[in-house]
Amino acid sequence: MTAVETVQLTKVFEHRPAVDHVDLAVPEGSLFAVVGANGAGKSTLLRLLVGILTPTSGTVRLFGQTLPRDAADFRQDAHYVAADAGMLPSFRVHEVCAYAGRLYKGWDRERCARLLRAVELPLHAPVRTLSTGTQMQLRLAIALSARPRLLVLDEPTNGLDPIVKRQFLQFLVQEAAGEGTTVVLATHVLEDVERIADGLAALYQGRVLLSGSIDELRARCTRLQAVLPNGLPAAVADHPAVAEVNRQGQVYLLTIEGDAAAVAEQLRAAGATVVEPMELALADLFRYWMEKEGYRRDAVLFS
Amino acid sequence: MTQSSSRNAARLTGGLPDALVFREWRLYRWSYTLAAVLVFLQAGGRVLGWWVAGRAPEAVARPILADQLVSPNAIVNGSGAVTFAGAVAVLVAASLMWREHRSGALLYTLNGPVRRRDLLRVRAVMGGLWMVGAELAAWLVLASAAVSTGHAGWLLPLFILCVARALLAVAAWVTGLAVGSACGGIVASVVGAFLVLRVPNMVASLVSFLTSSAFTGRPLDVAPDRTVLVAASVLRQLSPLDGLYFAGAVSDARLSGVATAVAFCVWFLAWVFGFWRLAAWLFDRVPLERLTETFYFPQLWYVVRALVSLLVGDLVGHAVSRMVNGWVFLLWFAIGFIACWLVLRAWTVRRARLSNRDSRRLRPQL
Repeated sequence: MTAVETVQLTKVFEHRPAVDHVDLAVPEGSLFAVVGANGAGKSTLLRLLVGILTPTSGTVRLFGQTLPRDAADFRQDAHYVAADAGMLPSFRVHEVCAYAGRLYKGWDRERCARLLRAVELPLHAPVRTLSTGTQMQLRLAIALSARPRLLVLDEPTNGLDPIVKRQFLQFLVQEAAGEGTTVVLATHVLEDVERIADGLAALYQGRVLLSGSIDELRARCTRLQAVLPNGLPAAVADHPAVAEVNRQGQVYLLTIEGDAAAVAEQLRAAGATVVEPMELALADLFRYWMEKEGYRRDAVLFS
Repeated sequence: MTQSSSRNAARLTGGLPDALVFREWRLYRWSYTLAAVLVFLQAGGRVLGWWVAGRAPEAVARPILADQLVSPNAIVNGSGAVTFAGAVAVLVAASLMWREHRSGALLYTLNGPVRRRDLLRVRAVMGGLWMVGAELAAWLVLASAAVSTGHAGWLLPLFILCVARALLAVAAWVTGLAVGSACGGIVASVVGAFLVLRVPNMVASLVSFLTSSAFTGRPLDVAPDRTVLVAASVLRQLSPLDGLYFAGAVSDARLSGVATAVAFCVWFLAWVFGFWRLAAWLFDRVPLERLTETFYFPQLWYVVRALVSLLVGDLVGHAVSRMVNGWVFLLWFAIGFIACWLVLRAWTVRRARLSNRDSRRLRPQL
């Protein structure tokens, strides 16, 4: 079953599209990442998914039901967490939990107590005195204790130290794998995505550049390393599947989008002494797709 | 967990949502208490102070003190009696709405399974209850003082008076909520709320002006039409800040009788209901992406433009015509109004263009 489905979802802010005709499908129980540069529309997309923002056009379906204009009831099952989503600053930690306990139908008090102990949150500390990272831990503890079917997290690891971050990512994987919770998270950290996510959507200027399972995306683009004493023949360089060529002496690094076996065959025929496939890291894959769309941060900064 | 779910569901469906009441009380209990104490003290404070200080009045002075502090007339005619309570109510209501979004509490709350209408309903009901409670407490003090000074006959008039004051305070409270549901800035909220409350007075002033000798050319020694004067006077009393004179059914001979009391109740209940509906309608439509803006609805800038232009037109009209001739005033008023409107329009259009240009320039970096 599909947990989240968007059809031509669009949100326009003052004549500028922040999310532009996005079609997405997130399978139930999966851990799905939304990645993109700053301002790509990740946060807007996530807020649209849980009905915090109303779309300009298009629809969102959660667990098969179309999100209405007032989606408050849906947020019993779909919990949104973001660092910039406000808090109750004058509340103490235990009061935030008491409020959440009254608010969420599926509230698990024991789980909340266990999570607060695990992250060593001071129960009587006012929320405004907590650091950004600690506030995020509180939000996450509340989100997990509400036992939602869908957990939507916007940059959840921002401000967390490496140990807590690792602990948190473990929680997420447990939630998705063990509890069947669908997790959608927006992040910049592609290494985390690579480690825990099942699927991914990359956004650029509000549009989805690529989406699918991590394995599918990896299969769409591969890298070949070849040693060519006689240089790269034009036939290989001009091959339609060759997307990018980097050279260091006799060593060539080719990014292939399509049939890598055919290109490897041509390389061998051209006298390559070594031809070996290399795994393309998600970060490289992302950079490649972004550059293809014309996103070159260095070019903007230094030109 | 099943039991917990059903309990929570029952809490959410019956009456005010438990979580929101808890949240409201925990967040704003001091604001509610302060508002209630101020409203209470305005009516019952002097009497309470007189007792607490242990200054039992001499038998001779007692009737005078009772007349000055406790009698319904003293309450009605007390300087700024209603204006103060209404002002406190509107100020606290408008500032709560502002504090709510400024602290991030509103965003956090609306990110959860909370209906905006419920949030506003809790605030309206809690504020209303505190206002009513404060007035009832004031009545208890006044009633005790009245009985102790031998004026048991004042109990009912004092009660009606306190109920009337409570209704006015609630009307002001709901007005503050409605304006606070449209304005993100504290200055805009408070100024806007007071402007809305003063609309009846403004209309009354306009009626007086349009029937003045300067405007109509009527000789100064000819008295204006009495009906117009009464209409202007009644109009003034339609504001929650001045409405207590309307409630003169208590003892004031100017406006007495059951009909007046009924008219008073109908008008101010309609005010409460109307502004409650407006507040809920506006709050339901606040775009979350505009929470940091001065006005949640950009169309309100037109209202600001119109108000500033009205003010400028009025200043120009008065300065040039010196109120010798109403038509000359109107002509210069129109010139001032249109000129100001066009200047403000040009300024806002330029700002919008600059903003668009900046965002286009930044776009490749996003």
